[in-house]
Formats: sequence, structure tokens, C-alpha cells
Amino acid sequence: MSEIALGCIGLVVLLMLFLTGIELGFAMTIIGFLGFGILRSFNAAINLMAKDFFDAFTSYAFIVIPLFVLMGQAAYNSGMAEKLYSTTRKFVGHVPGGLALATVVGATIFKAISGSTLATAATFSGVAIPEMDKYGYGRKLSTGVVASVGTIGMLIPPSGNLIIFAMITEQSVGKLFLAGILPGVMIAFMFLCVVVGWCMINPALAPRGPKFSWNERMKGVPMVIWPVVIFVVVIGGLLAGFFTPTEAGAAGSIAVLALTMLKKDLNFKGFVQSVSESLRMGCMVLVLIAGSAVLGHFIAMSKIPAAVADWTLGLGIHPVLILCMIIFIYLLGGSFIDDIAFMILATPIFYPVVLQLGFDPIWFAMIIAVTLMIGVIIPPVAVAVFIVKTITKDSIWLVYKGVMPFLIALFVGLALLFVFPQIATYLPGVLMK
Amino acid sequence: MMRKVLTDMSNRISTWLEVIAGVAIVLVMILTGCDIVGRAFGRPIPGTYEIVSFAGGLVIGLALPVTSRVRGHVMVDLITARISSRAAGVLHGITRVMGIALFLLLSYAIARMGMQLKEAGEVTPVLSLPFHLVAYLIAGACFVECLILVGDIARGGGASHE
Repeated sequence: MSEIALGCIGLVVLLMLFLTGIELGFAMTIIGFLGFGILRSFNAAINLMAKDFFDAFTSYAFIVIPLFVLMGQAAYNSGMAEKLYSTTRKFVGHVPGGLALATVVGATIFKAISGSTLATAATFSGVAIPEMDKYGYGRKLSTGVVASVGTIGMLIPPSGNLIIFAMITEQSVGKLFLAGILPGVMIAFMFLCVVVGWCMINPALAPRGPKFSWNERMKGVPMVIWPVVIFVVVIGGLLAGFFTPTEAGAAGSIAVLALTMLKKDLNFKGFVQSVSESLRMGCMVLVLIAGSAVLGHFIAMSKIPAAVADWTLGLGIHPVLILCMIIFIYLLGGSFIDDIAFMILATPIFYPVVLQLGFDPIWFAMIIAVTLMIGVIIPPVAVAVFIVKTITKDSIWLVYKGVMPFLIALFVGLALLFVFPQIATYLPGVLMK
Repeated sequence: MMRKVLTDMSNRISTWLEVIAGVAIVLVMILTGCDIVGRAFGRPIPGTYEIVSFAGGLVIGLALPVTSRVRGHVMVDLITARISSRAAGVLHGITRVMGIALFLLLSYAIARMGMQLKEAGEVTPVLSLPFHLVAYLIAGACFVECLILVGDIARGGGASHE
């Protein structure tokens, strides 16, 4: 049997193994180990597996993942998201659709220090939806906006997805963070436009909320300023070359922990919970990375990436069409499997193709991030939608209907990013020459 | 009775390992923070890179059992959620056995790697920290992971998925 045939069989068995409910990282390791063992020798496969796990677990670069999760979890457990929402709603709550606008703005600022899409969806489900209920907002709008806003975090730094993409493709984390800012802000702005447009078409959907005095509004401003200051220092320090990504994660965690503990927003229980969550999330991601490293050795040895690259280039079709096919595969995969897991699995296979086609890797990362944003809110595995549905006890179809206009905005955002790569490449080009 | 003892033991060990991992991540954070401040004043802490890398091994390796215990790893339940509980139970048992075999092998492989590192006298360049100690700890954590998976079979996969 040829190496490529064995590689293809390995991938098919891997997909079948996924359906058994086994942990994806375990499945990748098992198939990688067996495949490498068959192609080379099982003794070499044992050594390789040990080395891949040891290297992934003791990597200085990878410790950035639990550190940034710790930063986000501390912010989450301190109730920072609720306070951000409370402040933004005082500014815009009185305009039609204002509470939904406040949700988008509050979540975008919260995402600047928290990397978790699901934590944002869960928090705003508990905070923003009851508030919108109080003022008679339609559930379609309120659940739709909350399920969608969490996705913005995949672009706004410090995005976990972008960090992992950088690790897999050996790109600069700083460049990817910079590249994510404009598309992230653009999509947040498009979400705001969706809310305004929807409320203009159907004003009954979002009645005006109460109007607050400037004195009341200004009281909450420090709550917005602190996360922005931390974001600027941490990400600015990283981009200026003062921090490595790991140091940026540590500095950000210290800053958020110090801020929330000094303000007595985070107690010891919340601190322990944050640490615990950072360990589990870090472990989950690193087992996936270690598993993909083992699988990657098998796939590389089976010569599949080179064959995929040769095959696609030999098709003679336009590179943009090939890229569209790759995006479609990410969209399909991301909507069936966890977004991070699918990115870790698919990127080593498709990234060489993208490079050979001559596309900018930074731009490709942004395209993939937006594609995965779409993946987490479309069926069948729309995790963000499930979370909102579980918390609000609404029907899943109502939440899907609410998500639909935001989904269209995401597709428009993806198309704009596709046609104008400068949206992603401008900032890294100017600031990180 | 045996089931309870096994579950209790694996739970207790994984909790202790989690505590050590938690202390390690906090120390990593503080050490890195101090190094940044020290560097700003021209006095960086020597060997920070090595300590953080080693501690990273502790953080991730020792968090492995508890992550499995709370079912914090990514898995796809598209099929298992739609089949009969009996069939799902059988599939669950098969995947646990595969996991146990994998982590027994990993535990052995990383311990063997640790022995090779010890024999070769491999240490870090600045602080001369021996690599094999971290390898042994990760190998031990992989073995505890097996216990968790055995406990998972005993429980019948009752833990909630995160």
C-alpha cells in the first residue's frame, strides 16, 4: 500500500473515531502513533509520541495559552462584563435598540481582555437578556445579538484562536493580533448596523430604554477605561517588542488580578475558579496540539500535504476558487467539530497549499478566524446558540432566527475581507515592518 | 465497593495534582512579572525561561487527570447523543479502553525518555535543571490519567461534559 493511501485511510479512520465520542486529542494521537508505527517502526513511534507530548507540555511559548485564559477568567469571575454592560447601556440604552447596541459594545470591550467566546455568550445571556426583557425587547433580537457577539473575540486580541494559529504556522503572534483589530472592529460595527437596521424596520422589537443623566453615565466610565488601559499596555507591549507573548499573558493576568482583587470584585473562590479554568482550558488545547503534532508527523510522512498541494495546483483552477474550497471545508468542519480542534487538525494540511498559492498567511489567518466565527453560530453544532438557548430556555429555532441577520453580517464581513485583504494586512504592514 | 474506592482514589489524586499545577501557574505568572520588571531596570532574573518551560510541563501535565475527570477535553457527541444508552455505554467503554492503552503507553514512553535524559545527563544551560525530573512527573500524571479513565468506566461515564 502506498504512503498516501495509508495516510488517507488514517484520516478516514480518524473521522470515524471522532464519532465514537472519544476525546479528539486522544484520537489524533492514536492514529498518528499507529500510522507512524506502520510507516516507520513502532519503536520510533513510541519515541516520537513521547517527544511530541514532552515538547508541547514544556514549551515556553505554549504556556501563553493558560496565562491568557487566566486573564480572561479573572475578568469573567469578577463580574467585569456585567459592569461594562451596565456602563454602555447608560450611554446608549435610551435610543431604539440601545440595549442591544450596548451589548455589542460591552461585549467587544470585554473581549479585549477575555478570550472566551462561550464565557461572553453565557455572561451576556444572564445579564443583557433579562434587561432587554424588562424593556420589552423581542426575544429574537435579544437572544440573537447575545449569541453572536461572543464570536468577535476570535478576532479581537488576545484571541486564543489566533495564538494557536500562530503556534501551528510559526507566524508572529503580534502580527496576527494587529491584523485582527480592524476586521474585529469592522464586524462589531456591522453588528451595530444590523441592530440599528433591524430596529428601523421593526421599531416594536426594541423600545427605548431609560435615559440616564451625564453624571450617572460618567460614574461607570472608569470601569470601561481600566480594561482598555490593560489591553493597550499588554498588547502594546507585545507589539512594541517589550514583551514576548508569554510575558504579555503573565503581565495581563497580573494586571487583571490586581485590579479585580484591589477593587474586591474577585474573592479567593473566584481566583481559585479562574486558575482552575485556565489549567483545564490550557490542558485541553495542549493535548490537542500534542495530538496534532503526533498526527502531523504521520501525515507529513504519508506525503499528504505535498500531494494535496500538487493536486490542487494541478487542477488548473483559479487560486481564489481553491481558497473558497478550503474555506468551505473549514466552515463545514467548524460547524461539526469544536472550532479550535478543527483548526488544529486542518491547518497543517491546508496551510502549505495556501502558501504555495501565494496568499498572505496573516490574511489567511483572518479569513479562517471569520470562517470559524460563522461555524460556531450555524447548525448543527452552534455552541454559542446552544449556550444562549440553555440559559434562556428559549427554543433553539428562535435563537437561530435571531442569529440570522448577524450571520449575514458575518458573511458580508468575510466577503469584504476576501476582496480587500488590506483590512487585515494594513496594521501589521504599517506598525510591524 | 471497589468502584467507590477506585473513583475516590483517582479523584483525590487528580485534585492534588490540580492544586500543584495551580500553584505552578501562579508562580509562572509572578516570576514572569518579576522578570519583566527586573529587565526594565537592567536586572532580569536569570533562568526565567527555563523555569517557566519546566513549570509549563507541571502545569499542563498535572492538569491532565482533572481535565479528563471533568470531561474538559473536546469530543464530538453527535452520534453518541442520538443512539440508545446501551449502545452509547458500549462505545464509551471502548473509547475509555483506547484511552487507557494510549496513556499507559505514553506513561511508559515518557518515563523511558526521562531515563535516557538522566543517563545522558541532560540539564538546562543556565540553571542546570535536570530534564528527566519533569519527564518523570509527566509520566506519573499520564499514569494517573489511566486511573481516571478506569474510574470513568466504573462510573459508567456519568460525569457531566464541560
